Amino acid sequence: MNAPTHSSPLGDPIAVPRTDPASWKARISEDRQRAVRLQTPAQRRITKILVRRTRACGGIALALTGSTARGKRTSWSDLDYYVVGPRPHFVDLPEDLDVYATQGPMDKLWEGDDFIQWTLLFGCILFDSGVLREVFEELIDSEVWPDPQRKLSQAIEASELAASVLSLGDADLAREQVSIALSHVARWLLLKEHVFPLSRSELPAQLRQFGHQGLAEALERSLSPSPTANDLRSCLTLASCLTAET
Amino acid sequence: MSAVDEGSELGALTFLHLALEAAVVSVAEGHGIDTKKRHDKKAKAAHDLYEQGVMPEDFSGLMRLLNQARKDRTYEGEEPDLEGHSLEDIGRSATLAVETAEGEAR
Repeated sequence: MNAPTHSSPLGDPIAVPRTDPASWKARISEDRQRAVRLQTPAQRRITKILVRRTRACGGIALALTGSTARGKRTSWSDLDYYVVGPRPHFVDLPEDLDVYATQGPMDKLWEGDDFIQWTLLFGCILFDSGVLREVFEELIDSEVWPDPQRKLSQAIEASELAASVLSLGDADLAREQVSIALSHVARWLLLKEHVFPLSRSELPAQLRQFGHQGLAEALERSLSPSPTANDLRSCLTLASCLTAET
Repeated sequence: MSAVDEGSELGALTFLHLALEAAVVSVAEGHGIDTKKRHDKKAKAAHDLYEQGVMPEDFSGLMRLLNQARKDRTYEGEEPDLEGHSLEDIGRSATLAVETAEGEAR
């Protein structure tokens, strides 16, 4: 099985991932510079505060992840962080933040979670006590692949929830839920085909490359500023058909 | 509150969050505040409306907490960390927010 770094046709491949301490230190230095380039001044201020708070509350690693780290932010993007340790206080900070915190990134890797892999492959590591380096080393050595079934379960649950929200008849309320459900379906399909899914706005291009034209269009419709309730219903119908085929 | 009663955790988190946000947006619009369909702007409006004495409680922290909890549950399948709040308590806050919005609309 190939390592995920070599399997993403539209990703930025890491030619020869190196995990020795000196290379890892160099990566963190480059990642910090990249994070500065990819954020607005306001976002940089938030990140600086989160770095300080994460360290202060005993966090041992922090990464900027998600679409910001890919340079693919859209108007609906969150500012995503991956914390190893307790979650720092964040509810007073501006912007839509997603501050994911875990005590066990190695467990997440072996549970088949794709987010830890995503963060290690594409995120900007802001500081690391060594825990993320160990997980990255394990990822490279083992070539473990995220579990598509895990994504399928999430896709089915998210689709059912999106249908419930949509039944209220308010397309604005339902748009985000439908988009989440379709993203899970897209990630499940791509992982099944051994393609590492990138950020949400990049998924349609990846789907098209592997023949999933209908889902690519549905995902784009759900991400448009003001889809109609009928649009969203047809998107969900497609998601249900795809997941039911299993 | 039906999702809370039925025991669907993700459903409860999502609908409580939607209810709180919808109530705040309704009141905000009545006071000329545009929340631009963004969660952070809705939470900021909740705080500002409390400061102005319009909302009976500052729901902003709870809205951000719920938003994070539903994302943790949706994306990672994690047990949500509600920092000591029970779903029933949050349900009461959401009901209070909705009642305030209804009162404002009359």
